[in-house]
Amino acid sequence: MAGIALILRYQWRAFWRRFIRTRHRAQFYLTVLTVLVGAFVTILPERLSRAAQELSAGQTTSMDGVLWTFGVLWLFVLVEDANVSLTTRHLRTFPIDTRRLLFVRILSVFCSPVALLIACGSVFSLWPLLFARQTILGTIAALLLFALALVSAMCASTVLSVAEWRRRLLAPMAVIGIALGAVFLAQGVQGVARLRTVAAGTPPNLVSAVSVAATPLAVIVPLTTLVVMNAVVCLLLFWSFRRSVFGESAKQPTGRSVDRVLWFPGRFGGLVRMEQHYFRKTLDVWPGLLLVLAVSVASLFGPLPPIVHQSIIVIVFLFNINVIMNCFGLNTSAELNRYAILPLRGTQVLLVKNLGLTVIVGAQLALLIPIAIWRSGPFEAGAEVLAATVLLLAHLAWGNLVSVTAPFKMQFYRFASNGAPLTTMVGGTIGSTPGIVVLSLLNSESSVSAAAIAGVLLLSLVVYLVSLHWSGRRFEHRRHIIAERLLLTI
Amino acid sequence: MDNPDHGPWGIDARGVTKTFGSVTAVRNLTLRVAPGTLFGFLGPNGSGKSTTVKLLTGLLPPATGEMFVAGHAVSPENIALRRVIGILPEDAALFHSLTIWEHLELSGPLYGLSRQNTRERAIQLLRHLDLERDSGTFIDQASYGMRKKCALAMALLHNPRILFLDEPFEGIDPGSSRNIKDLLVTLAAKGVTIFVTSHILEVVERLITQFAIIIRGEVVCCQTVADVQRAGMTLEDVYFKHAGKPAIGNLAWLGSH
Repeated sequence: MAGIALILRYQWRAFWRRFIRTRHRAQFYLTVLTVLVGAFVTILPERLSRAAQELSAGQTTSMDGVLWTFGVLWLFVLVEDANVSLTTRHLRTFPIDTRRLLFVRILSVFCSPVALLIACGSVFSLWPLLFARQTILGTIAALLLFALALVSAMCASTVLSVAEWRRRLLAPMAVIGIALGAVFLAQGVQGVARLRTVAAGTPPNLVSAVSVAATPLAVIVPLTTLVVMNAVVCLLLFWSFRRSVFGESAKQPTGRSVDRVLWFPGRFGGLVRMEQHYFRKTLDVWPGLLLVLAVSVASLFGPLPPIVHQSIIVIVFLFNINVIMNCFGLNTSAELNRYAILPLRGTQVLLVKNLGLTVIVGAQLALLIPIAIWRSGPFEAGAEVLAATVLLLAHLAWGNLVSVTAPFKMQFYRFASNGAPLTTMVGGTIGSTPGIVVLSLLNSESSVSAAAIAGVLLLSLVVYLVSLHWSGRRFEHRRHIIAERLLLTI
Repeated sequence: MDNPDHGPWGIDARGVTKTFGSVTAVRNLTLRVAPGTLFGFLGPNGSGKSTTVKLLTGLLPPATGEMFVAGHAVSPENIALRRVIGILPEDAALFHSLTIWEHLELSGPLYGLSRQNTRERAIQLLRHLDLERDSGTFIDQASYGMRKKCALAMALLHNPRILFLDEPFEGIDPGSSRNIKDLLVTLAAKGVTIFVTSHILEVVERLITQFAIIIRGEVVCCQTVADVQRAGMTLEDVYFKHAGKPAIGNLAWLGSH
């Protein structure tokens, strides 16, 4: 135990040292903490009070909502897990057995102020259970739920770190997600009702069921289910953790070339291919694709209103925003040196990055176009292409500026965190506005729409070119600073 | 930006200083290397060798001083300079998600080589460096030596006039090391200026024609190997004369079980 305590002491020290040294990390945590504390102070007491009243009357609707919220918040661990300084791979060189390594990894998550706040909020959320019929058993069930959420998030994190498992598990999960999304979209209100029925058997609802149970059987069944679920997930975590740390499967097979599906011609072709390959390895770009796939599948059963397609295009860009605004985030310091060695101007480096992102966005949105032609006609398809082009130019223009001024380290197979949320929000607004204006103009009957749309398109192009040139020059002068920032936030 | 007056020199640095905060990594570096010279840049760990390579290749801007390489002013913006130099940096500067072959394949066209030409040269370089069988290996799974050789192949691919090699023999197997040494000698004979940093004095002594020793950021000695031999000394003698012999600690407890 002394060894674990020692490691955790250094883990804590390293975490906070980085917190202090990296401005963006501090900004990120301060914003997230402000939002969470604000929500806890303003919304939570009222919700908990209502949940307490309902539980005393044997109802669980509000408590279900509270437990669902905290269950989902625990998934934040998936993001935080990537931010620990003393990683398991570093620690495995010490004489520490796997169980202790896993213990260190789980406890390391609590270095983060966000994880600590979620833990405090979770404990606070147990208060309504005092008014429930089964206070003690309900509390035990709730603690099992939080443990389940934490361990599940750790499990997902471990699985994502192993290439072989990513390939085997993520594809079936994506298919299930697309199918559910398509059902939800195609059935509208009925779909929501069906999802609610399915949700009745989920862990948060099991906790509520225990807390209001009137018979021993009504306690034993959900409680046993939670215990079994925890046991299974814990075993899965231990097994996957061991395999990920010591197993050969952690390696990619040698000799497999980067796939050439998303090929790009020209002198920069090789670099563009590499860039899109990097961007593809962040989790941020996948929800957008899944959303488009779900919409496409839903469209097979019947036409969706054009506004759904148009909204999806805007949302896809918002999903991508952290990657677009931090295009050097996946690079190492050594890779930035290579950019300096290659005979490329800063503007060309940025252009290569932008082309890589364009390939990704193109792949994300590609299915929408034929479906729009099929269901709504070529005019609607053209409108979607136009909106996507304007959105792309506006997002890239802002993204280039932020990429060279406020870079932060991103991890492969993780959602981007650590960025400044305010910058992200401003970027989302600036990047989306021209596209939304174009969509409004396209949907309006005004006679000057065409000229206005052409104006917005031209303006976006000019702003993009100015941003590309300025950011490229700035990259040449700030490459060392960017490299230092990326090193600091590893 | 480029100055033809500096043309006769492969490398010409005048009064170059580089500071990192309060630390002076390189102090008043003045160095002239003629074309076709195999120049050794020696010094202990942390003496400023790699920083000097970064300065001379434009990877780091100096605080003061001016530098010309192959007649081109050294600056991070000078693309013409980058086209005529080849660099094997300290960290190899490779992309971890690409294979060795893909590194060469993407590098050639950026230097203006056709794809066909790139492929032909890449095959020959990989064969020479004994990397042919490993060309499909991803960089993040390649050994340290393989990464070095890949970065060296990238440095040579575009047939540079000046080569900067930071510790080229570190982690390289004896066979490849021999091939690299032969290649460097041949290139120097053809007029390519080669700037090599190394810790391995026995290796560089047989290879280089001229050298400088840098200690704590200052060049303390710059002479030819022929001069050293004429004085009846070895490179090691000269090195320890300037760098001093390291202190020996009392490690008697080691091995006492």
